[in-house]
Amino acid sequence: MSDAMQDRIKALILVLTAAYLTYLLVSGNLFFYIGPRFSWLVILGIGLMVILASSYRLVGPKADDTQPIVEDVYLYNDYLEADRPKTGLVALTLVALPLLLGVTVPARPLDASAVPNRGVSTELASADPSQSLTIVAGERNVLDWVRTISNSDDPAALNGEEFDAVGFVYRDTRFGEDEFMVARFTMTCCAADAMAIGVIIRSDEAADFETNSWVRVQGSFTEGDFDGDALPIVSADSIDPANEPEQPYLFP
Amino acid sequence: MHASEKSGLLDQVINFTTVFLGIMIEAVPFLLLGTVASGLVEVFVRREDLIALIPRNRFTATLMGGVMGFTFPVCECGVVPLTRRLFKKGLPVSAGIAFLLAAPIVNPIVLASTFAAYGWGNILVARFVMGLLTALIVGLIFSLHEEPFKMMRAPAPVFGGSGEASPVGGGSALAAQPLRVKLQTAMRIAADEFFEMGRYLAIGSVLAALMQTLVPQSALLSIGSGPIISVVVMQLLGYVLSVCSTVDAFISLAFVNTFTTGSILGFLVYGPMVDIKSTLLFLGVFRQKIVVYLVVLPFLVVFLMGIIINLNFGW
Repeated sequence: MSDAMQDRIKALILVLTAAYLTYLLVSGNLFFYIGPRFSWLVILGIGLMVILASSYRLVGPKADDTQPIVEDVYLYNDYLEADRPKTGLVALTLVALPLLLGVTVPARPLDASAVPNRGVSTELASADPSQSLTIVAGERNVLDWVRTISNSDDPAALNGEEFDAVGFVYRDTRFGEDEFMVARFTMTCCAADAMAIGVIIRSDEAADFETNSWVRVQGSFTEGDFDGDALPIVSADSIDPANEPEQPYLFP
Repeated sequence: MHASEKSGLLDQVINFTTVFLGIMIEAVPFLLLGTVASGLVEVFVRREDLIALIPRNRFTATLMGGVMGFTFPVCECGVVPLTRRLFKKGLPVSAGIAFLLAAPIVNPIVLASTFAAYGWGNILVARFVMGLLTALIVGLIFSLHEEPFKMMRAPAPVFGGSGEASPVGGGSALAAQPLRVKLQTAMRIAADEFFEMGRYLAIGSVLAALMQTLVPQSALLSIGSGPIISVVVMQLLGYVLSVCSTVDAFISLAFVNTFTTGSILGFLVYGPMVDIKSTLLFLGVFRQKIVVYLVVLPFLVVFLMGIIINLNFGW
């Protein structure tokens, strides 16, 4: 591969990756992968990629391989010639891998199929009580409830409290016929640190809802036994199919 | 049955891709920052000036390498290309290794994120002290090597062997050029380097995402929480998760109540220094044998410190 060809491909990879990231940012799909508080980082990355791509002089006036446009390009090329690494096809493919996978594999946030490997918890280790108790009970999401549950040692403390939240259905071998978990993934920085949390739901209709489908559950807490532990469990009054939220993860 | 197996595989592929893209999208901007810093150093920092700044004494030089992170706030992805460039500019190997290991921890951004997660206290102070100490110890061990430049990966043939003097070090032709040309040259160097280092980041992220898709986290976490084994587990977790050092403090919060303080510190000190993706990045700079030492030595040093904390302090 000639140097000029190599430069073209590098510039192309940088520009297309920047375009792909811009698409993710605009479509909101970016938040399948990283938390919204790191959007600035992606904007910075897009800017740097465009700057680096333009250093190959392929953006703007069409580059001529044989005749430098201005005199200083000669010096600049001389300067680089001795020190430039050769980049093979494998290396180029690897750097283009996010772009290639991003375009070919369907964009999807982590869901119930990722839970068995990542684990799921009914408690949060680092629950800050001040964060959840300020939220009105009716507006608490799964994360707020799990925080509230984690802050009390008494599984009966929530008895009678009204529960109303949206999540995906998760179940494994520990769950009975009339049980599932309404779960969400929480994410701090990127999908690599996503953790599943959830609240146990009990209902005669439980079996009607497929694993991984999104549901809205309304009901009230009672102390119950799950897998040998005493836990606050929601007895559902109603379970309704729900749309996947625009923001599928919750952010602690 | 067959159909569900197939859909299971598809799910695995999609989940793998989601985790891979998560790591890459988070890490690439930092790698870009590191390569841009490296390009600017190449064009604007003269070799003689850098050498004049470095203390002659081996210990002081290593110490300087360790605290240099405060002036170059980069995480583990950005520090590798920058260190490689500084090596070419004549930074002693012991100082470079200390910089390489300390910079992802001893820098203002990580200080701020650790403060945000833990507030002012033992964890914050211990993280920085342990990070700096580990970097110094490992840096000094490496300074015993008799022919430091043999530790480097064989440079491209155009370098002419030693890898020491980059042909543009003096840059007399470039020095006379207008700022615009200098900047453009710096960006071109950064771009080339992004492709050189980016492939290692990609391989590292593939491995980290594969581990997360195929090996249950519970397998690691259920191993134990004793004062010694917990430190091993959390260091391994830090290695495997390969999360950026600027944000790993928030992630460690999830383990605070179930794991010992020494093991949390093991995660916070070893994870940013060495993880799957930085190991791959190291391979672009050092010989394989040296990379093994760079993974194992800090592991052992941090492990010892973690155990000492667990057995002697009631944090």
